[in-house]
Amino acid sequence: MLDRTPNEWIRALLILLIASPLIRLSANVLRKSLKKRYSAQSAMVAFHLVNYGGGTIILLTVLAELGFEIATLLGAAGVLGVAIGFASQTSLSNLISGIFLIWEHPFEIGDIINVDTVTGIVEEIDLLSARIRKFDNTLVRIPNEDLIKTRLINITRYPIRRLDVEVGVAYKEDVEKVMGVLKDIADQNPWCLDEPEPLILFKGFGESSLNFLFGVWFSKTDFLALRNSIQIEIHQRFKKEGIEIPFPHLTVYTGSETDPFPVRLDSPKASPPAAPPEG
Amino acid sequence: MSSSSLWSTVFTPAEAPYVVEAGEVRIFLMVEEGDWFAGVVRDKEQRSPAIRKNADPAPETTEWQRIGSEADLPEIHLAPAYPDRALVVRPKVSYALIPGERVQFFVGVPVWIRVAGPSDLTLFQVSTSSLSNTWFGLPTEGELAYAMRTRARRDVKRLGLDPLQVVCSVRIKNQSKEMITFERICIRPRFLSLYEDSRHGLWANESSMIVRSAQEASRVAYARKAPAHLNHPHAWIKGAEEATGTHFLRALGGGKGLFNE
Repeated sequence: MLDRTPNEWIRALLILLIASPLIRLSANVLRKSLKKRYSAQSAMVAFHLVNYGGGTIILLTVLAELGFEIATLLGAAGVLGVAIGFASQTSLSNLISGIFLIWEHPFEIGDIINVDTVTGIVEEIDLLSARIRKFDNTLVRIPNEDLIKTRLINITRYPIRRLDVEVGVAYKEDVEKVMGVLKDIADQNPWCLDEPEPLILFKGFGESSLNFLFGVWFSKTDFLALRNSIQIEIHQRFKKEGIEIPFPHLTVYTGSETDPFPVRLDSPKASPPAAPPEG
Repeated sequence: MSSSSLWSTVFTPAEAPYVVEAGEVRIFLMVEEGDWFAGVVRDKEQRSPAIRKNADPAPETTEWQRIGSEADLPEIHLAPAYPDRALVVRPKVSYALIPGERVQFFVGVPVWIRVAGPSDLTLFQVSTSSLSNTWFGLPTEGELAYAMRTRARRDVKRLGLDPLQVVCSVRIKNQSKEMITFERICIRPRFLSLYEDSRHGLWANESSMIVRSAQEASRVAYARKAPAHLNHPHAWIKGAEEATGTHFLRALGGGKGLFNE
């Protein structure tokens, strides 16, 4: 290598200086044009493929200019590749999982996803991992293999969602009146879609309450506004209508044929003032 | 002040502050240290359109926004506008059309107020009534729209002349061989023009649709001129040219009569 002429050195340097920015430029142009037609995820993967692939070709060309035997180098790289492959099975698994993710396309950049206990916005998807920004502004890197193996929920895949609120009322309440009030709450709330219609389901008889499922549809961007407002409105409206939201309670009987335990409430007697200490 | 002056009043820094009242909304405009500030207050009270000059101060909770400098905005005016999204009108009573029947409905669409500066530059827009959201389409894809429950009228006089609503006329002809029931109408404002008549009523251009089959997409045609009964109307908005295959109305009824896009 050291016996190369200055011309050959200059040629190698020129290839490096001209081709590298060109590859970078092509990768960027490709990313931008793909982003318009396809997902940001596909654009990013294409960018990396062109960037790394082009980089490898430039490196090999420069080495060839400097007198290296490319065939020998590739052979050595093959042997080295097998060794590295064995040593980096996890990375390989992540890489293959990344390809599956691109093909399956379960989420894209900007989606809000839930994986295990992590919920956040997808910031970046790479061949090895995805980066999720949680709502407390911390970054979580999830290997692609985990994304393939774990149950993943894409919260913002569809434009509208349903918020399910569990509502319990006292046994004395009129079921039809409660359902009518819930319908009216949904009608009055500006974030709640009037179509699809809200789901109001009398779920059954709980330990301490009659249980209802109140499912209201909303545009995915209105989640926080709806969640806050609908719960406040249920509380306020039930209070206004005199509908009791019970707390868990227990009635104890001594037997099936007997009356409940008698309970007597005594008013507390005023205790006499303490005598001043003597001495 | 009558509704006539709502759209013709010119707001100048010299006479500020102003308050514009219309329906559920009050718009406060004031000038401070050479800048225009605007604040919008909304409540449940329904107010007739009115403008007051040198008005009382806005409530303390008003959120103010600078909209421009006095020098750049020597004049501000208001203009009627359509909602910024499609409007799905659900008549309180559904209408069935027998085969061959031709009907005309009138629907009142709540007007929005567009606050504009010189060269008709839009500064901001506000609705005069609170509209709830609805979804027009399938749960997996569709369009977010405003929902309105009203009575579609056959006689325009029964709709009443409300200065804060635009009267939209919809003609439908049922050319199919089956009965069609309309439960909701989707109004797409981008195709509608907006005219003001001599009595300051607001009107949209007429739209008409021929239903050939319950399963087939129905094409809607929008008139390119003002309703014929208006004398020298003032055109506030020129509707966009309709796109091919544009649909305007979707009907549902008894398991049939569904018009797809």
